[in-house]
Order: sequence, then C-alpha cells, then structure tokens
Amino acid sequence: MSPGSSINVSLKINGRDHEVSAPGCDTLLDVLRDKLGMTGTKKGCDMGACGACTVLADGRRIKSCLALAASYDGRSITTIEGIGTLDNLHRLQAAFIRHDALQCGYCTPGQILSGLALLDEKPGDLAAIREGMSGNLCRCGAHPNIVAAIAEVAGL
Amino acid sequence: MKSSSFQYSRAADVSDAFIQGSRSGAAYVAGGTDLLQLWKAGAMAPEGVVDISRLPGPPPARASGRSPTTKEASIRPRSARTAATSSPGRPTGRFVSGMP
Repeated sequence: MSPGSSINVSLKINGRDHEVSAPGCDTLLDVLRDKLGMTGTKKGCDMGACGACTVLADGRRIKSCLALAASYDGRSITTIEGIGTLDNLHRLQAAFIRHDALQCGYCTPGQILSGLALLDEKPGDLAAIREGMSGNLCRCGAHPNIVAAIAEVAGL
Repeated sequence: MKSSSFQYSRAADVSDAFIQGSRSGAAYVAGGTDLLQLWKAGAMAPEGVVDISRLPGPPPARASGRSPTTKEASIRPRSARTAATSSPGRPTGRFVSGMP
C-alpha cells in the first residue's frame, strides 16, 4: 500500500451505518464534511484549538479535526445532525435559543455537542461549566449565555 | 499546511507496535492531538502512522472517564515533573496522570 492510498472505514453516525473509502491521513472532520456531506460539523482552526469541530465518539467529546477517521473505524459518532429536529429541538438547543447563546452560530454545533457531553459529566456548579466548556471558543462572545443555557438544562 | 500524506496502519498488539514503530519514517498516533497538529503545521512529515489507540494501556487514574479540561491538560506536565522529582520511586511521564 503506497502512502496516501485509501482504506475502508465503517462509521456508525447518528445511528446509521456508513462505509467510506478515504486516505488514511483524512481526518474524521474531513470525512464527515467532504465524503459524507454532513456539513453541520464545522471547521474552524483545524488545529484543535477552537472546538467548532466537536463531535461525540461513543458519547465522549472529541475534536474531529485532530482525529484520524481510520482510528474511529467501527465506532459510534454523534454529530449535530443527530441532535434534535427543526420541529423537535433537543432541550439544550431550545435553551441556547432562550438564553441567546449564539450570534453568528458557527461555533454552535460544537458548543451543543460539547455541552451534551458535559451534561453527562454532571458539572456541579457554574465554574465547572465554564471550565468544561473552555475548549469551545465563541468569537461572538456568547460564553456567559452558553454557560447559562447549559446550567439551566443541568438544573443549576 | 499539510506537508504530505502518510500510510495508516493499526498495531495489532504491543510487540506489533514496536515492530511497526521501528520502521523508518514511522510515527505513533494515539489521541492524535499532538501528532496531527505538528503534521498539519508541516513540523512532522511521517511516512507511516501507527495507531496504538486500541492497545490495552494502564488503567486510568480517573474513574469517570471524562475528558481532561484545558486547565487540567495544561497543568499535567508540571504535576508529572513534580511527581518525578519529589518521589523518585514513582513512575514518571504521561501515564502518571491517567492518559490513555
């Protein structure tokens, strides 16, 4: 096999099985967006700093820009396309709207996925939410409202 | 910018990881948060990347399995160094803090 040759990767994304053929150096983010057309997951810095590309792998949040798709062969991935629907938003999405937790919205898919994983981690107070969301940047500066939305769903 | 493409392979077990990792131009990947940044920046250009993320590791120190936060990640090297200097008998390096 020459460098860069494609390999087959099986991914269960939002409960549906997908088979893709991709070069071994392709990131999960690029496979999601460019091979599968699932553009809800955003590419921000592409260097693991901004968190726009956050998805869940077996329920745990990861930055898909620093994940090789091949490493996640056989794993379950959750993206924003699997969270809520237009008619039936997830309650964290509804809380984001109520708390005005976005302006441009580019970071929001990552914020939502990261927030969902954080809720599973049972943050004890607002400081724990701020700390737990510190890997997801919002250049519009909606951080206080993002924290408030997550706190509401967490019952804090 | 990505400097080059590389061949991906997965280590079957620990001895296979040593064999594959000893090849010229090979680099290990586990979480990917270090290697892939350096590769994208052009600072590393491995010809082959050996995935060791599925190998059994030492048991995690933390029971919950949650991701380390940015703050925890940033203080890890210092605490590992402190542990290494203050108690020489303890294991050192990243495994101290429960990284996979």
